[in-house]
Amino acid sequence: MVCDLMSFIWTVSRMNLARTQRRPIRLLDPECVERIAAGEVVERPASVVKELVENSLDAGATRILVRLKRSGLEELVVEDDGAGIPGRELPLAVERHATSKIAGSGDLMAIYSYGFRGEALAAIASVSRMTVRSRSANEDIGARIDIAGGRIEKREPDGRHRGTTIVVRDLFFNTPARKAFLRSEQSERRAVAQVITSMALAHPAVAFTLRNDDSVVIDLSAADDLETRAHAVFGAAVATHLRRFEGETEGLRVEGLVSLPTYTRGNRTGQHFLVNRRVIHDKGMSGAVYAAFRDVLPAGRFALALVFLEVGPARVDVNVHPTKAEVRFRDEGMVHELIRHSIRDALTLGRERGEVAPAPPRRGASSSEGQGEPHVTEADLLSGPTEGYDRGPAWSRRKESPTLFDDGQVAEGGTFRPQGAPVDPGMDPGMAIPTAAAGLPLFWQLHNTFILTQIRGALVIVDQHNSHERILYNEGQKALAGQAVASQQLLFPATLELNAAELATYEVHQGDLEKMAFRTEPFGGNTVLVRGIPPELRNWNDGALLRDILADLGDAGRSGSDPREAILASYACHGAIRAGEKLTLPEMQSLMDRLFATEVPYSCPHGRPTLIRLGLSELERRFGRR
Amino acid sequence: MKIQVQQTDLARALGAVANVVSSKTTLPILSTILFEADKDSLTLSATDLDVSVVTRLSEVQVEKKGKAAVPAAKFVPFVRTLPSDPVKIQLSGEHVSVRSGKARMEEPCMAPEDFPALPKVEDAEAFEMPGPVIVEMIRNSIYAISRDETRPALQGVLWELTPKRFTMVATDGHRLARVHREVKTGVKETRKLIASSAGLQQVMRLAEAVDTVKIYLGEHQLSFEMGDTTVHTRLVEGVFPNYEQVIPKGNERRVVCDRETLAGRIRRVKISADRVTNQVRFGLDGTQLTLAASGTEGSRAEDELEVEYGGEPILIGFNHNYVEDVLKHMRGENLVIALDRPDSAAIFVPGEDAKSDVLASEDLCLLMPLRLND
Repeated sequence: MVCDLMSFIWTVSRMNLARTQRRPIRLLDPECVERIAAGEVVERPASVVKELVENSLDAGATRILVRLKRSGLEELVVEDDGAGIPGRELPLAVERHATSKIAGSGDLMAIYSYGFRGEALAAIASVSRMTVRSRSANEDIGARIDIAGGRIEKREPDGRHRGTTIVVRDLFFNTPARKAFLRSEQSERRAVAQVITSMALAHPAVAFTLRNDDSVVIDLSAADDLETRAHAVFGAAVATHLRRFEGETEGLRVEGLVSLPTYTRGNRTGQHFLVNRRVIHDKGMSGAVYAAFRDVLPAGRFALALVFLEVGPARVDVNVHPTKAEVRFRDEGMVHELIRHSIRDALTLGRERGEVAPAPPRRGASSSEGQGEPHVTEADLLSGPTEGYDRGPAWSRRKESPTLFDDGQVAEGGTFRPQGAPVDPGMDPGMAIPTAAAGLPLFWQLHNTFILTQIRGALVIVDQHNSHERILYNEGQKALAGQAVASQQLLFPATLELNAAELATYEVHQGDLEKMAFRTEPFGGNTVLVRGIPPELRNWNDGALLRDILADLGDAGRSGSDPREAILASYACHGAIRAGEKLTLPEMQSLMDRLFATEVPYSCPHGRPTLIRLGLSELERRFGRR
Repeated sequence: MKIQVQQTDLARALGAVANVVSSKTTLPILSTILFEADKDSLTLSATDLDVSVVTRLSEVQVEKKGKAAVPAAKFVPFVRTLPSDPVKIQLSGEHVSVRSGKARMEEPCMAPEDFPALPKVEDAEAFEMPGPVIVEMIRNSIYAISRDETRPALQGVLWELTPKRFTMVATDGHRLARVHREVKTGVKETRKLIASSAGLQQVMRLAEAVDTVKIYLGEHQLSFEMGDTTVHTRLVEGVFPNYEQVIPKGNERRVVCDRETLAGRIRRVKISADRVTNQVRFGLDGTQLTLAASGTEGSRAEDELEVEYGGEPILIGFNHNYVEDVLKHMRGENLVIALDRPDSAAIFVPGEDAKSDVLASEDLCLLMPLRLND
C-alpha cells in the first residue's frame, strides 16, 4: 500500500509535469510533507487502531475500548484508562517527533516501548479530524483539543476520568488519493479485529472491547494468563487442541501456543507473531512454524500459532518499517531454529511419557459409574505437558469435556473427516498401555481397518494404515539419520528390470535406500538385484514396492521436492498395512506401541489423522445419561 | 429321513466334518452339514469349496432314507452334550429333530439340493503311507509357508514325488523348510504339485490316529482316504520357486548344540529384542554361543551357552520367531547349525555330528539372517 501510494503520487505529479510547463524545484511546505509521511504510518483504520492501542498500552492501560463507525471510515474512537497526558503537554503530543518515550538517539539502540518515533499522533492528526481528551493521574481536571488536518482548532478543559480518549473522524478527508485505496467496510473491520486480536493475545491482563456501529465484535475481559485469553479468543472447541510451547537460547526466549495437527485452518489467519509483545509480520518466523509442522500437516493446512518471541532489544532492529510491522534479527537462523524446535518439542510426546504414570484401568465399567466420581477431563490427561507452568491453564480445568466432533461425523459410523478431525490432545499419557482388566482383549479390529481400544475415560479408534504410515515414516527417518537398522536377507533375491528413468533414479538414491535396509546391487544392464529388505515389510510384493518408490522418487525429482522426504513418504505409504488386512492381537499391540513411540502420533505424513478419541462423557451424552 | 445312531459315533463323525463348516454367512448353505441316509449308512459332508471332508457311519439303523442340510452351529454342540445313548434323528417337513431320552431339539434345515456337489476321488495315481508319518511331514514344513496373499503358490506346500521319495517344501522367502521321507509313492516319473495349506491342516488333524492314509494324486485335487473319512483339497496353481538352487552347498562352519537349551536361552533373551525386527544376535567364539538382543528403547539382554564349534568367530542375527519355529519343529535332542557368512543362509538340521552331510537330512530348515547395517 505504501508503495502504491508513492507511485500513485509519483505518477500524478509526472502527469502534471507533462501537461504543464516545467516548474522550478522547491521545498514542499511542511503540511504537505506531513501528509505524505503520514501515509507511511497510517494506511487504513487498522493501522490507526494499532498505533493508538500501542500508545494506550505504553500508558499502562488495563482496559481499552475501540469503537468504530462504519468500520472506522467515519469515526474511530480509542479509549483507555492509562496514565493520560497532562493538559499542557497535549498540543505537543500531536507535534511530529514529539515523544515521551526516548530522550535521544542513544536510546534508539534499546527500545522497550511501542512508540518511539513520536510520529503516530501527528501523522494521524494530519490526515483526519481528531479530538484528544485526556487527564493524567495527578491532575484535577482533564484537557481536550480538536485538530483538523494537523491544525489545532480548539483547546479547552475537559471532565474526563483518568486516561485518554482519541476520536478520529473523516480519516483521509484531505488526502483523497489515500482514501481511494481503502477497501470495503467489511475488509477494514476484519483488519481492525485482527490487530486487536493479536494485541489482546499479547496482553492477556488488559481487557479489550471492539464495537462496530452497534454490535460488539470483540469483548475480552482481563485474563490471568495466555491460555485463558486464547480460550476466550478461539472458543472452547479450539482451545482443547492447543498446546503450550517454550524455549530459550542465548538471549532469545520464545513461548506461546500451537494447535495440534488435529485442528488446522486453510490459511494463516490463526497465526500471530509478536516480538517483544509487538505484533509483527515476519516471513522467517512463520516459516519456522511451517517447518515445525512440515511432515505433520497436509499441504495447504496451517496450525494455529501464537508465537511470542522475546529478544534483547539490542538483538533486533524494529526500526526498519514505518509501522514497525517488520523487524530485523541479528541472528535469523537462530530464531528460526528456536521456534521450530520449541514447537516440535511440544508436539512430541516422548518427552513427558516417562514421567506420567500409565492410566490405571477404570474400575468397573458399569453403567452407574461416573456419577459422584470425580470426572476425568482432558485437563487430567493434559497434566503432563503443562506441568512446570505455575499458571495452570484455567480453560483446561473445566469440568466438562468438549464436544469432539459434530453429529454428522459420528453418524457415519467410524469414518472420519479427511482433515482436521478433532482428536483430543490429552490422550497420550495413558495411551501406550491400554487397560487390561479381566483378561479381555485390549484391541478389537473393526472391519479389518480400524483398531478400537480403550484408554482412561475414552474409546480410541485408530486407523491402521495411517498409523502404520506414521510409524514407517518415523522409523525410516531414523534410519536415514544413521541409526543402524537390520535388513531381512531374502532367500530368493528379487531381480527388478528397470527402465532408464527408474535406473537413473535408483543410481542416485541407492545409498539412502541402503540405509533404510533395502540391500540392492546393480546386476548388469537395467537389472537390479535386491538381497535384503526392511524386516516385517508386508507389501514387498516381489519388488513391486521398490519400483513404486523409485517411480515416486522420479516424480519428486521433477517437482524439485526433497528426495529424502519423497523416499520416506513413498516407503511409508506403500509399505504400510492396508485397510482390509487382518491383524493379530500382538500385531495390534505392537502397532499401538510403535505409534506412540513416534514423535507426532496424531497424523500420518500426509496429515490424515491416525486416531480419534471418543470420550466417555461424549458417549454418556449421546445415550442421554447427562 | 429317519435314523438311529449311537451318540459317540455321531459326535465323532460330526467332529470330523464340522471343522470345515464355514461360519461366514456369504453362502448360508456352507454353514450346514449334509446328512445322507442310505440303506445302511449315514454320510456326513461339509465343505468350504476349497476343502471338503466326507465321513461315513455304518453303525446306523436307517428307518427311512433321505437327505438334509443341517445348520451346524447349534446342532453339533447339542449332540456333543447328549449322553452316550442312541440318538434318533428325523426329518419332518423342513425341520430336523434330534432326540435322546427326554432331550429334544429341532432345527430348520436347508434344501439338500443346494449343497455344492462334492468332489469324487479321481481315478489317479495313488499311494499309501502311515498316518503319523504324513502328519509329521506336514507339521515340520507347513510352519514356513508365506502369509502373503499376493503369492498363492507360497501359501501352499510344494510336493515333490519320485518313485521312492516324498518331499515337502514350504517357504516365505525368509526361511524355508524341507522335509523328505523314503516312501514308495508309486509314481512313474517325478511329480510336482502345490498342496493347499488349508487341506493339509485338515489332514494333520484327522490322520494322526489313522494307520494308513491313501493319497490320490489327481489332476486338480488331492484326496486323502483315512478309514471312513476322506479329505479332498484343490491344488494350488502357480509356480513354486526353485528351492534347490538356494540351499547353500558350502556352509562349513558347524555348530552343534542342545535344542532345548538354545530354545530356553532365546526365550529369555528375546524379551529385550526390538519389536520391529525381532532380532537376536548369535555370536560364536570358541565353544561359546552368546545370544544378545537390544530394543530401540535401550533395553538389552544377553546369555550364553556351551556349544561345539570349531570355526572362526562369527556374529549373525536372526528373527527370533523364525529360530523358535525351527527349534519347535526339529526332532531329537541336538541340532547342527551350518553357517557361512553373516548375510547368507544358515542351515538347521537335527543331529549331533558336526561333520554329517546336512544337505541329506530328512528335516532341513534354511534361515536368512537379519543383517545389521555396518
